[in-house]
Amino acid sequence: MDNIVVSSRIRLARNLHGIPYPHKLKDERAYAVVMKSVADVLSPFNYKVYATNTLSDIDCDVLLEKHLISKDLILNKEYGGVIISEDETVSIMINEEDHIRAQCLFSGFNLQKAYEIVNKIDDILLSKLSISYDSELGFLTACPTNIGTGMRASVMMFLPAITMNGTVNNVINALSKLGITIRGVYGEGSSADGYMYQVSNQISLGLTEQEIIKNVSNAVLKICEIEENARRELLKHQTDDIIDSACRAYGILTNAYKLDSNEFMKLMAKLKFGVCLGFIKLSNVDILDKLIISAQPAHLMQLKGELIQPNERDIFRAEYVAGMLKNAKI
Amino acid sequence: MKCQKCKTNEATYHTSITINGQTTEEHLCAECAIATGKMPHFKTIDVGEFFDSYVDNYKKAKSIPKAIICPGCGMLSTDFLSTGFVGCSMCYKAFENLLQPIIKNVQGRTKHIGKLADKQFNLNSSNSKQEEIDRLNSLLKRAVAEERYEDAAEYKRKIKEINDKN
Repeated sequence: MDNIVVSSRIRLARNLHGIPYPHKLKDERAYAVVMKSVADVLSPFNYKVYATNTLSDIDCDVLLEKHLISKDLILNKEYGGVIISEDETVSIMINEEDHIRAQCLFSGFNLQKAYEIVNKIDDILLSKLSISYDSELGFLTACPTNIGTGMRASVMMFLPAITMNGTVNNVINALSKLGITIRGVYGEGSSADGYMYQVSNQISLGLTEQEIIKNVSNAVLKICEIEENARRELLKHQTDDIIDSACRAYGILTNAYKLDSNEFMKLMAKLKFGVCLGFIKLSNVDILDKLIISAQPAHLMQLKGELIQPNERDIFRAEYVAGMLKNAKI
Repeated sequence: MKCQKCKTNEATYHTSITINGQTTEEHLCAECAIATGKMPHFKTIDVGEFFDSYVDNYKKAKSIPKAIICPGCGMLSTDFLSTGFVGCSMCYKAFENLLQPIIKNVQGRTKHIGKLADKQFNLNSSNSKQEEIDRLNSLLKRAVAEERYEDAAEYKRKIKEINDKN
């Protein structure tokens, strides 16, 4: 499981009763009623409250890159909001697809802990606000795919071996029959340039919250087993190629003059695989997951303190990544 | 471990049953487990594809039902079919007949068994009686105005049912 599960997230979707859902709520009630009600109820937590129309594009993109908000919230920037805990494990989107989308995000395999935290916040919202709920259909949401528990349990996984040997598609097909989806996180469509996948439940109605967590957890454990077996198999026949690929990735990442996002993601995945298998020693393995986020476009521009064009950004990325990796090498 | 039935795929469905001290184990792959009814079949539905086929079926039907308007937000049932989103919580009742088969297909089940918000938090369920009666009255008036007398009779029957329960 080490070096396979990257992070875990629980998301709960809720709506206020008696007010149109966000795609039909393009007026002052978006902030005056929805945003204000939720911010007031959560004020004892001292979370940071942002109306998205007060944030710059870069600020929004940084939050997106940290997985604290979604692209859909940015599309509804004029009427949206987000409430974030100081340690950035909790983030509550306002007026995205639903009025309230509360999530808790932890590194590693921590679905139960994430659920306990977001459930406490949900209890407070339910005790103070009139949340839309039906005794037959459960929590009501803008899209029928989210009704019932309103819960999405997701785990991000690093799966280089089953991507390389092509068996990831068999895993995807088998899981879909069990109500679990798995999709590539980076790259076009379902491709996974960074060997990163998100595993989550498809069904939110007719299961308890604990059943959903158990189903996703079981799927994750099974995928870990398959990935570990696939890594062992690869090591029997392709060790030299894997070492070479990881070393070349390290070489380019620490010496390139320019690095665009796509190339960066592909090389980081190869390097990370080499590090996971112990062929390249870094002082701190987590640095790779952190670097994947901190070298994203908006993060780089925030670091530089200015808007920079893609070409200049790629040069800055190369310099930044080289510095971080050289410091981490043993 | 290979599936005991097809002996080809990896077994992913494992059961161990002990009766009167005797234990039997079964190890099947997902396909065989579903085929033998041991495991429910979750259909992967692409919501967009489902809505497209739903609209196509509507078009092929002899009489295309008129669009229903939600009394809560004014959303049309035809808008829901094209976007996949409802406009407010009352849409779930207003478009009940349209939504039920969609929910069954997308979710596989139709009854919530998770967190019980109404019992735990005394929440105003969208099923509150007076709200429901008001909603049905509004739908009844519209049905009569549009000469949909069968629909009107159904709304009248539901109002009577709620009142009789009091």
